[in-house]
Amino acid sequence: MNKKIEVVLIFLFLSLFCLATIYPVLNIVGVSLRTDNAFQTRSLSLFEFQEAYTDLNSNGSWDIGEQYIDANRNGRWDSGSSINSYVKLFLETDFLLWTWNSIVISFVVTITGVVFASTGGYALSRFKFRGREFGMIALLTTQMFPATMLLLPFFILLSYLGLINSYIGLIIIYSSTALPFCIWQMKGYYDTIPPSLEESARLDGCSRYQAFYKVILPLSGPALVITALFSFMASWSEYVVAAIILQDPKLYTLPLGLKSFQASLSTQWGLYAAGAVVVSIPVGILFISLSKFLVSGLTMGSVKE
Amino acid sequence: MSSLNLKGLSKSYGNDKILKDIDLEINKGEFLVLVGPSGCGKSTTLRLIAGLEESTSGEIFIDDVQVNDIDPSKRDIAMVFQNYALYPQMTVRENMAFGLTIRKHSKEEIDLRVAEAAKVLQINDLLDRRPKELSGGQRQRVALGRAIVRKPKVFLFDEPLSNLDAKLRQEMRLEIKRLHSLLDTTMIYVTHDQVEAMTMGDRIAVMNGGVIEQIDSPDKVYRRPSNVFTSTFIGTPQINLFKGELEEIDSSWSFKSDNLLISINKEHYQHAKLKEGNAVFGLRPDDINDNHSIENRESENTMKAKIEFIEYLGSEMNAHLSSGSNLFTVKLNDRILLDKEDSIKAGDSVSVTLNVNQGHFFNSITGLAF
Repeated sequence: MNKKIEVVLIFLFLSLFCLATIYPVLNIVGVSLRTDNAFQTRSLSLFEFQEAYTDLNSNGSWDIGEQYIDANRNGRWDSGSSINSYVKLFLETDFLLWTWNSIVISFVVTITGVVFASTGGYALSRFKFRGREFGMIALLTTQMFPATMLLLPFFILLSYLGLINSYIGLIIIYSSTALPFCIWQMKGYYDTIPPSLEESARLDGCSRYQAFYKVILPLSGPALVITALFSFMASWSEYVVAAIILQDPKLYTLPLGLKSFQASLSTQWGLYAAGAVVVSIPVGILFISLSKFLVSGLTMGSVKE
Repeated sequence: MSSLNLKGLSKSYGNDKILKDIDLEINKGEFLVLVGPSGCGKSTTLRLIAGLEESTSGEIFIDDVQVNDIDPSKRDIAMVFQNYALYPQMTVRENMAFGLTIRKHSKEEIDLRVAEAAKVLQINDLLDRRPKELSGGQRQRVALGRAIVRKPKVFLFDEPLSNLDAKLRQEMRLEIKRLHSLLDTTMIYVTHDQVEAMTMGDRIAVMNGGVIEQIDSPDKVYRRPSNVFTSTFIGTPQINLFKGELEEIDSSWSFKSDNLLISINKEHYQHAKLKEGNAVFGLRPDDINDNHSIENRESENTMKAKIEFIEYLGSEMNAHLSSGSNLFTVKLNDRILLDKEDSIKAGDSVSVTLNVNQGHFFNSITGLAF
């Protein structure tokens, strides 16, 4: 009996947390399906009738003073749901351009992260060399500073190099901030692979490099997935650094683009929400499809075979 | 089939000398066992031969070609590791074929050789499985298979059986010996298990503290240990050591250790080189006879001793005895089947005769046999 109550309580507790996590997401989806000024409505219904209005100032939304037919007689104008925000997002804004920019930058950062973390972590795991300990501590130390604290030095550095307002500048910063974690985590994973595997491969006729990419790398899938995901996330959803480095709207990444919907006087919440939903779709897909690796990856190294 | 020659091989890590000036010649087709306690440098020797580590000084020759600077991939050596080191992402077939694929053999030849090796090792049914689906013994067979398909010049074994249970270990011991006679190749086998060393080796190199203490046939290492360490390391139960003094009395030697007095026939070949002074006398438990069952012809070299405790092993019974300050072990196998009233127990006193001619005298300072 006690056991049953326990189970019920656990599920109640978990359900509460699920609600707390899902509510903001649902809210954003809801807002994205309404027209701009209806974002505060409490109605959760997605396919409601649309009340008609006369758009006197042709701004695409109903403003006070404009005529409307209060069909359900609730004293306000209800818009119902529409995919207008999405249509507008793709057709009337630079959303596709920002997406492309973000894809290019995230892709390069991910590749850079995987290449350097997989090789750098391997060197730290397998070779003893002068400065190894120091280098590892130094890498760790960089993780102690919040990115905002590094903004000024980054900005000064990049302006010396003439890389302000360029992808390369942003890629360098994203890679260098994501790499220390990735290198450490790759090193941790390699440490769990017995060196006798490479030794065996070398006696089987492999060079050191062949032993690495034919035997060790194929075994490192889970760690590589985490490295790739971490690098991708670090650049895909980053705002602060991008806002400093990129000034030309043509170079904007998705977070910058979304922020540009927020003007000083009015914010296009419908567009903003629609953009947020679209931006999080690839991330969601990535997480779900890689969750198998994530679980094995995050617990790896805890048990040594 | 190749010969191997180590000349003045040394290895240090910082100030730690792991190997001290090793000289070792291994003949074509020989099965040499490197045996010794952990940390004695036997695995390091093997890794130097394989090229997995660089020597601090000294030379390694395979078939009279110096290989010190040759990459392990080019030395044509196969090694079986303690943890098998099978590639987890590959099937058994791919594991065995890996070395041949890297060396760019034709597909037909690879298939042929893998099939051949699988047949020899009776692992035909396992070829499409992955290592994690195999038992310890099967993994060991695959590791052997991966080594033999390559037909290397030299096989190295680094404690390959220490992860297996006792029964399987015995089985694999025979298997490896069978492979040796079948393939007729040079094999070097590292172990800390003296039973493996004795049963498998054509010759045994007993190592201790980075040096080779003795290198001889198993029989010789057992019967003619060249120093105290070798005598104690090989043989179970361990050899009995008595510390005492040698004295020359007329036509014979006398050895006195506390209340034990031994007289030794000068003429016997074992004792031709004795010198007066402090010495250590080593006598294996097998060479101490229980006077209860054997009629004692010699009245000398007989002593009374108290039983401290008894180890009963089924077919064997080892009794730990004390006499004065001397502690020693004897086998009392003949007493196992006796009736209850007659059976012996700790605290009893027994009379034993030392078969002195089978014993060994060592210099008490250098530890070397006289």
